[in-house]
Parts: sequence; structure tokens; C-alpha cells
Amino acid sequence: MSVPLAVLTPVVAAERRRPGISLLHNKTLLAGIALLFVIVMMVVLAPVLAPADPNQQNLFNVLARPGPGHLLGTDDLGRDTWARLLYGGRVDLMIGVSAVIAPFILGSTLGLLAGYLGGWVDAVIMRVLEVVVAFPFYVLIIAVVFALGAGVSSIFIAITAVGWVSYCRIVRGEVLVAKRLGYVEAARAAGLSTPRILIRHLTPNVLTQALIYSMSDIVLTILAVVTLGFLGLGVQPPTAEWGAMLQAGFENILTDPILGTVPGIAVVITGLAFSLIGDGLAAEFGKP
Amino acid sequence: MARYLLRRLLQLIPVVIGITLITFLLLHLVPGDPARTLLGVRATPARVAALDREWGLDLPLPVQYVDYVGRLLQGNLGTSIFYEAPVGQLVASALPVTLGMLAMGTIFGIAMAVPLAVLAATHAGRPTDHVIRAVPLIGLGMPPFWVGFILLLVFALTLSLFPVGGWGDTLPQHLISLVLPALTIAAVMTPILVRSMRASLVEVLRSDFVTAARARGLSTWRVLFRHALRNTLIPAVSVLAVNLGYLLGGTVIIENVFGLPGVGNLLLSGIFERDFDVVQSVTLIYALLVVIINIAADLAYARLDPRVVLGQ
Amino acid sequence: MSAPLLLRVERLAVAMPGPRGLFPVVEDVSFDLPMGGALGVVGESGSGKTTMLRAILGLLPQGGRVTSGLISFDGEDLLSAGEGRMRRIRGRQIGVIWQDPQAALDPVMRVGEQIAETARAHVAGSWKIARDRAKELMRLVELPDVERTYRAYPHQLSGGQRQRVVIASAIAGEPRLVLADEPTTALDVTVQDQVLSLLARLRQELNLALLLVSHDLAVVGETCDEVSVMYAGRIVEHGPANGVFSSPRHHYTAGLLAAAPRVDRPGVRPVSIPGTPALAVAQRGCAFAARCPAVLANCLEVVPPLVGQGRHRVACHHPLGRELPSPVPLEAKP
Repeated sequence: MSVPLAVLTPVVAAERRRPGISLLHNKTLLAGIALLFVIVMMVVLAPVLAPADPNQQNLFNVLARPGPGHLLGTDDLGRDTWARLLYGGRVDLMIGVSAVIAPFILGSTLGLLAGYLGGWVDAVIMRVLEVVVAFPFYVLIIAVVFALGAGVSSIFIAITAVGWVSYCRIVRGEVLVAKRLGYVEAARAAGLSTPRILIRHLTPNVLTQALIYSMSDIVLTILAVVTLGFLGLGVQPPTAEWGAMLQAGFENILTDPILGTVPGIAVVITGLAFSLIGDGLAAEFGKP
Repeated sequence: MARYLLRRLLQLIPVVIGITLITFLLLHLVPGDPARTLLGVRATPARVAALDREWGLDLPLPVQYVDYVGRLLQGNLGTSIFYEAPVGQLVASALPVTLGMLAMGTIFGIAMAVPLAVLAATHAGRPTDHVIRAVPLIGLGMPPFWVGFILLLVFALTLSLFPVGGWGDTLPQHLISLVLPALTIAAVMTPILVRSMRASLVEVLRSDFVTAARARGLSTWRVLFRHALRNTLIPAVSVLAVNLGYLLGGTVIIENVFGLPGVGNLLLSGIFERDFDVVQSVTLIYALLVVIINIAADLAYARLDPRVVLGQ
Repeated sequence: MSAPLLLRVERLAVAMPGPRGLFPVVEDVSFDLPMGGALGVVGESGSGKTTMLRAILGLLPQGGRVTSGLISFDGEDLLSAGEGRMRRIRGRQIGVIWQDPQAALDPVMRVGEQIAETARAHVAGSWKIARDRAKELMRLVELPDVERTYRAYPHQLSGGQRQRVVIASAIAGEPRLVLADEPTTALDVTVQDQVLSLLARLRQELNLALLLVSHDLAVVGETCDEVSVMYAGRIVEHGPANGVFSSPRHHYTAGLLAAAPRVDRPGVRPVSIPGTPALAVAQRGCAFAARCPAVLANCLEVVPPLVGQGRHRVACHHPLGRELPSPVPLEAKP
């Protein structure tokens, strides 16, 4: 492109920042962490903030309006909606965050191997990846959970089986770029063995991108858990969970709109927190 | 282009084989015997064995797989136990519903995303831009079925502007009942599109040929729409294609929420009724759809961008 | 020259945004361009010459602004003209030829259409007229096979052909002034000559005034009547082309001439100017002091003003006053 223009137009530093010093000025990241902190505090302090038992049924007081003792009313079995919201948050948050770990490890490892070793290893992994990617996300998850039976362990297996793909792609891409940049060759020339190169030099650099992606992956996973709960395929009753609450809310849409609205807002806010963190990290460490 | 198409289709074969393999194995992951599941707990071993033999379930797995592929190639997608009809027929009547919803949703999505992206990019850095950039942040966290739920609540139940789900009987009724579901799909698509279109438009607006176009005295309108937007929409095709897997999956739940007789609802009823052939075949159809749409997107991209030469 | 003035720039100063606020990029620049005249601005990358061009057009990149001075085109003050007025001036009164023709053209639009749309925007009453005009212009700039080339996309043409398209679209609005930013730098040497002679021909046939910016002395010497030498945002020497090149007064100009390889003296080695070009306007003293072979104490303290007798002026405390060892055989247009 036009060289003199580039020389005369200094890079307006809107997106690119040096990490460390400017971390404190990264408003997006701070906002996300703050929001997440509030959410986590609320669900951790659930017993304090919502003294009612989330599983305590009261069939004489179903679908009640908000009132004394029930901040958000009750659900279709008379259980306190506010309590179920907070305790349900525990379930969704925990599963959402922990279910991402296995795909992260599996996908990143496969991506490292595929990118670094190349050849038939790469070819095989990429073919498998193409097949998995051909299935729509929710379709495959629902089908796998169906095959394995509903429940939390099925959710973990399904998400791992489907979610490793993105990490593999990202890490493989980063490894290929690193290879092209030549510092892999330099390490090899210096006599370092393959595992050492992989672990000490390659991994820290390529994992940053995967870490940034994992934030949006958490959002996706929470959505998947909530969706499975909505379909009755996820976390099983009577455990409080946002998806199950949304299902009950959907069935009682006319009598109790709160039951169907509030858990959704909770999902959106939680998603917002993780998205902000992801965006903040991307501005900090991401590609310009 | 024909040669390219042929080459892509050939490259697809291993992928398609993989797809059939997975859909085949899916059913064999199910704990317990399908025959016993169907006949119930009190079925005698003899009856189970008889049904097994009838369905060919006692044959070794590889043989079963070959049989499966064989009948697929004949266009036989199996039979639905619940509906007592060939799956192929069910899929054929359900597919237009799903595709219609997707098409309408895509149109809505683009119609909403483009003005937002243009506004954000032309006011980059200013308050309007920040507000619009919040859309993807919030939108990506919204469960699709919840959006549908809210739309139903507001527009169908409260304002009575649209039917509360269902499909209707006449074509106009079909179209009206697709509106809210299509808007729900658009709600999933728009955040993704706005994010990438805004970024790409900002870059295009800063590029040299836009400055050169302005230097020729062309009107802002023309520079924006004839030059800048065109260069932005082309990569947007790729973005759409990449996210299509996710969007197709969303149709499953959305059809459930709105009671549309599409492929997604077919899948769900197959799951809840333990209708194996339906689940297997619908999953296969979904995967094939994704593959076909990806190829179509590649072809469209090549058509739109004169710099692309097919067949690298 | 007694021709009326077309472009007048007086004490122009432009600043651009940086990490610590605005910093000056062009300072105290003045020159006149008569109708049909040709002025060359010589300077290296970073000297501010492209920013100056963009300031004239009102197309400074985001954050940049004119901090003082006057730009007047045919008597009209361009700095106080609104965007609407500027849009009508761009293309219609002032055309631009860019350095990188590939970057100046829309990659997804046919080249003929891009010329036509410029014509349509300014002088053609309908698309049919605009398209015909575009083809006429393509013939004028000596593009081969006009019918086929019209429908081609930029990436399908060679560099020289692309630049001819850019030239065609620059004159499509029938402007009176053409700004050329390094028009031949991105081209092969063999093509450079063709483009330059094309420019000279067009200038004569259409009575165009030309403001040509380049780091290449030979290009400027060949096409321009007067030349201004820019360094670090200021004009350090100005005068008739053959005068400046045969007896340069500023050490920078002399350095540039000595650094240019010369066909007529093949045995003489070009001598580069030591150091790297300054990127910012100097606030104290002469910006060239760090690299000047004749630097003295007051060069570091006081900014030298642009002074001189007649039309040859120089901004130096101790300018050169003698001829070069052998005169430079450059042609200057009458």
C-alpha cells in the first residue's frame, strides 16, 4: 500500500496495547472480571442471599407472584424462584467452566501434534476434524447425550467430543505460523529435542490464543448446558438449573412470565461477563 | 467451475464416509439393545432375539455398516416406528419448513446487521459505535430458545400480532408463522455478522482505494455502498458459512419452541420416542446440509470476488 | 509568468495525531502555481509531501488537521469550504494520480466503470455518455484494446496499464489541476518514461496545471518548471527547475543531486547523504543540521527562513553560492 501515507499516519493505538502496564487500563477486561466477580459472589453466597430451600416444594403456592418471602415468586411446584436462580447458577457456572477443560486439553494437544508433526498425522487429524465439524453443534450434542443417556457425565462427554475442534484449529494455526517464523528451526538447530521444543517454547505462545477463545467457549458451553436442560436432556430434576427453569417457564408462559424471563437474563449477563473478559484478553494479547 | 465442483465433490467422499460412520456408531452407543428398548422390560429373550434377527442386529458391526451404507445409497433412510412411515417421506415434508425458516432468518439477519455495521463503522470510536458493539457482546450470550420465548411472549401472546407457534394451513399462514422463528434465527446471526462486518468495514474505509474514490469527488453514498460495502460483504459470505453449523443447530430448539414441523422437531421427537432410524437419518441430513452449504458458499464467494481463482 | 494563479498555498502548517497528541508534519509551506504551470515538490518519505497534498484536498487521515495557513484555489479559500463544496471540487477541479495504482482502484469493480463513474459524477449527463467518455479517455491515455480493457479488473492489468487507468480517472472530471503523488515510483523504469511523456502530452493538450510530488529528481526535472525541495516538513529551497538543479543553494539539495546516479557521468559514484531522514518538524534550528556537512553553531538554534533574490530562494544560514563542478544537463519545459 501507499508507503508515504503509512509513514505519516501514526498507528492510532486503539486496539494494540502492551500487556502488563496497561492491564489496569483495559476497561473491557476489568468490567468483565468485575461482573464475573459479582455473579460468582452471588451464587457462592446463595444460602445467605436466598434462605429458602431451592428444592422445597409447596404445592399450595405454585406460580405465585413476587411477594414476601419469595423475591421472584415461585415456580410450578411452589419452589422459590430466587433460590433456584442462585443455586441453579452454581450448577450452570460450574459445568460451563469445567466442561471446557477437557476439550481445551484434547484439542490443543491434537492441534500441537498436527501442526508440529505435519504429514500423515496432520492429514488424519484434519479429516476427523472435517467430519466432526460437518455436524451442527447442537445436533451432535443432543444426539450424543441421547445415545449416552441424559445426565451430567453425558454432557461432559458430548461437549468434549464436539468442542475439541476449535482448539485444535486455533493451536494448529498458531503452530504453523510459528513454524513459518522460524524460531522452531532455530531451536532445533540449537539441538533441543522435540518434546522440549514443544513444551518449553511453542506451548506458551500458542496457548494464549486458545485461552482467549476458551472464554467464548465457556459462553457456548453454558448455552449448551442450558439448552439441554430446557429439553430435559441435561441436568436432571429436581436439581435447580437455569435451563430446566426456562422449560417450566415456557410451559407456564401465561401465568408466570417471570419464571421464563429471569433465568434467561441470568444467562445473558453471565455470557456478557465472559465475553467481556475474552474481548479484554484479545485486546491485550491478541493479533492486531 | 465444473471441474472445481467435481474436485470438491471427490474431496468430500472421505468426509461423507466419516459422517455415515458417526451416525451409524451413534446408535450403537446407546446402552442396551434397541430391540429390548422397544419391546419393553418384560419382553422375553426369544422375542428380543427374533427382532434382533429381523433388524439384522445380530450380525457383526462391519457388516451392519455396509448394509447401512448400502441402503443409504439406495435412498432408503429407514422407517419411523412412531409415525409408521418412511423416514425419507417425513424428511421431505419437513425440510421445506426448516429451510424456509433459515432463508427468512438469513434475510432478516443481513437486513439488521448491515445498517448496524455501517453505522458503527462510520462512527468508529464514538458513542454510537460503542453502543452498537454491545450488541454482539450481549447477543452472543442469549440462548436462542429464550429469544424465541421472549418474542412469543411479546408479539404473539401480549400483542397478538403473530400466531403462538404452529404452522398453519395455507401459504400465507405458513409465511406468517415463520416470521417470529426467523427473527429468532436473525437474533443469533446478527451479533456474529455485526462484529465481523464492522471490523472489516472499518478497515475498508481506511484503505487507499476509498481515499482515492473520495479524491475523485464521488458522493459519500456511492463510496459507501458501491465500493466499501461491496468489499465488506464478500468476506461476510465466508463468515456466514463458517457459522452455519451453529445456526443449523439452533433450528432444532427454535422449532421446538414454536412448534414448527421442521427437521429439528423431527429429530427431537425421534429422540424422545427413541425412534432410531429417524435420529440417525436426520443427523445425517443435517451433516450433508452443512457440507452442501459450505460448497455453495465457496462458489458464491468465487462468483462475487473477481480476484479469486478456483481450484488451488 | 504572467498566467493567473490557480493554486496558492501560504504558510501552510499541518499536524497529525500521535501518542502524545498532535505533532507538526508540515510547517510554513508556501508556493504558487499558475494555470497550466507545473510545480515539482522533491522530498524523501516522511518529508510531509503527501500530507500536504491531502491537506489541499481536505482528505487528511482521521485526527490530522491544518493548524494554520491558507490554501486558495482559483481565488477560493479551500480551508473554509465545507465538505459538500470540497466534494464538488475534488475530481471536477482537482484530479489526483496516486503512487500505487493497485491501491487506488477498487479491486472488485471493472476499471472502465471506475473511470465512467468519475465522469458521471461531474460532467456526464447519463451513464451512456459517461461510458463513452470513459472509453475516449482510455484511448487518450493510450490503453490498448479499449473494449476489452474496459471490462477488466485491476488485478488483470499490468502496473503501467493500471496507472494509465488512474490517470484517466483523474482527468475524467475535466479538472484544471492534477496532483500527482509519486506517479511513477511503483512502475518499471521502462514504463516510467512512457507515463511521464503521457503526462506532458496531456498537460499540453488539456492545459492542465500539475503539482508533482516525488523523491526522484530526474522525474521532477523532466516535467516541472519550478521545483520546491522539502525536508522535514519545511521547504528548504525553491526556484526554477534548471536553476535549482544546476546551482543548488541548500546542502540537502546538493546532497540529493550528488546521491543520484547519473547516466552522463558513469564513472562518478553517487554519494549518499549520511544519516537518516528526519521524521518530524524541527522546532529549533535547521532540521538538516544533523546531516549537513557545513553545519555551524547557529544552525542548531535558529530556524533558517526561506529567503533569496528573484525566484530562487533557500532556507539556509550558509547556503551554497557556487555552481556544481559540471552542470547537470536536465531539460526544463519552457
